[in-house]
Amino acid sequence: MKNTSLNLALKALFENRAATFSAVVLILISGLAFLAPLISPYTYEAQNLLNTYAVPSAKHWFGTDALGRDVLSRVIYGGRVSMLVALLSTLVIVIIGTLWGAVSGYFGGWVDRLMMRVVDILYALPYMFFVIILMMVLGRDIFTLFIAIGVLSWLTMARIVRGQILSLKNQDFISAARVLGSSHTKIITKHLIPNTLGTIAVYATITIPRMILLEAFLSFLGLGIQEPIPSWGSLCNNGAEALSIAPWLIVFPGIAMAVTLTCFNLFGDGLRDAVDPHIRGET
Amino acid sequence: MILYIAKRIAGMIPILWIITTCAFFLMRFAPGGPFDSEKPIDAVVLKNLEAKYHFDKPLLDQYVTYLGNVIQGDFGPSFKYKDQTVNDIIAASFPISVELGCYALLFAVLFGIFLGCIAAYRRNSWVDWLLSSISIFGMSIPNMVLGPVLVVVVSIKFGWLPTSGWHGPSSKILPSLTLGLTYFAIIMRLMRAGLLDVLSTDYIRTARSKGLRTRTILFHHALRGSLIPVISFLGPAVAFVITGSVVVEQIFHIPGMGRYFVSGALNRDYTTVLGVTILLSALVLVMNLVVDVLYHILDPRIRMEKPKA
Repeated sequence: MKNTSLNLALKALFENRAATFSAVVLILISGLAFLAPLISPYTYEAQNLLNTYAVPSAKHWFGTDALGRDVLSRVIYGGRVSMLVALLSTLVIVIIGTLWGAVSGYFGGWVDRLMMRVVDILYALPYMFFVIILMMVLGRDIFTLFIAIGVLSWLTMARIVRGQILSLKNQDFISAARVLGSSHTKIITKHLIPNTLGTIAVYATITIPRMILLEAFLSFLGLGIQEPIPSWGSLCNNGAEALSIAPWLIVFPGIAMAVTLTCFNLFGDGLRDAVDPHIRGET
Repeated sequence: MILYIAKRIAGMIPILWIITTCAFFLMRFAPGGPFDSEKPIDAVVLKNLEAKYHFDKPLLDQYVTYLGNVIQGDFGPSFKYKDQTVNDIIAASFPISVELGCYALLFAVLFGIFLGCIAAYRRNSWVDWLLSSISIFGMSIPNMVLGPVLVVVVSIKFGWLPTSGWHGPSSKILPSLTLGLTYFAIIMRLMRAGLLDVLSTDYIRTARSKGLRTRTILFHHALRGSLIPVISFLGPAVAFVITGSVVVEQIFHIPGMGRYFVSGALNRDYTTVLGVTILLSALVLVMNLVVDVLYHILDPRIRMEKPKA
């Protein structure tokens, strides 16, 4: 038992039944998504024009779409794309937000004022519209998608980390590090950031479902992932078009997305209560 | 108060300028142009088109001209809808989007506050449990799933309401519900938590020790204070509703601003995208100000010295 505060948090987390259950479901869903090539019965682009809009059956559990592609396989592959985009954009958010917040909080003074002013101004932007404009500029593929999302979504993360750093930086162990001659870089990366990891983990967990939604939003509008690669958003878009003839096209990706988001929300709540009951989920 | 509002409005101008500038130059770096089409256009025609929309001038000149026109309230001609200006498009579509957004927010706020109070009032009962579950699911069902499912069930299966369009009250119910559900769920949750917070304060204990009925305490003493988290959510909520309405307008084929924005982004219709972005940014900024003023009215302890934007 090395890190007691970590163990306490984990214990509190596992006592929360909804959060534990959600974690198990999420592990299952991620497992399915990341093992997609091994698990899915067909490939996501295998067409069969003789068998379009087939109703769900033993052969195609979730039916087939307008080009006779197996919807189950596409939902599994779509989950892989959606999760990947969400995880990578969350990673971008964590990196930029943590560094920005840590530098701003640690140095204080005019550096802090300037950096937080930038955050305030960016907060006022109708940020979805800038994501769309960025997508226009960068072109539409998976990698530009998560970069466009990540680059514009780190603001709340920066504020949260800055707040944590402000309360940490005057504590004795930081003064000790400074007296011992540690450089600013070393103090920030070795002493300050590791002590905010709990908060960062909580906020990252809340961010992932938001990124799944954001990707779905863009792909639904035709501004995100391009055919034939599926994502949950683009599957919903296909489904919405064929609503009256083939409702299963939207129902299955919809259920997959709703279950995933519910689990992330429940798990995020549980993690927040376990790590720090004082943080409120900022939306 | 008036000085504060004036200061905030003055602070919006540089932000709007930054937004306009960023959006203008970003879009010009986008590959492809508004005159791209399936078959190549004749070089002379293209040249004339470019001359007509001043595309042949240096980018900086175009920017200065555009900025000058925007200050006078002229967003220029649309590149895709040849006989319409962006002002025409906005004048036709903006009221529709505003109406949709208002219905959605109204639904979210009224039901969210009411059911949130009930959940707090009947804390830990089966009612509370049911409402909390609804709230979790409401937050987790994306509107791009909810909308089509509602259409299938309510409109196609039972034929109760029209599937799409924006004519008459019956066609406005489903879009408003679709757009408002998430915010309804969040407001209900905030309201419940806020009310429970306030109920544990000293002044409520005083009211209770005077022997007042629980219902009187709840609705006369506690409600006002517990509205604060809800109000502070309304600022971001307006921004979310604006982006959410883009999807809802797409699902229900509503001719609002969101549809023009999306088709503009897909077709490189620079002026339409810019005009809509600028207008909606201004709207978000104004709504943030309204929320801060409301805040002050509800809780005079919150001082208004430091404007946020």
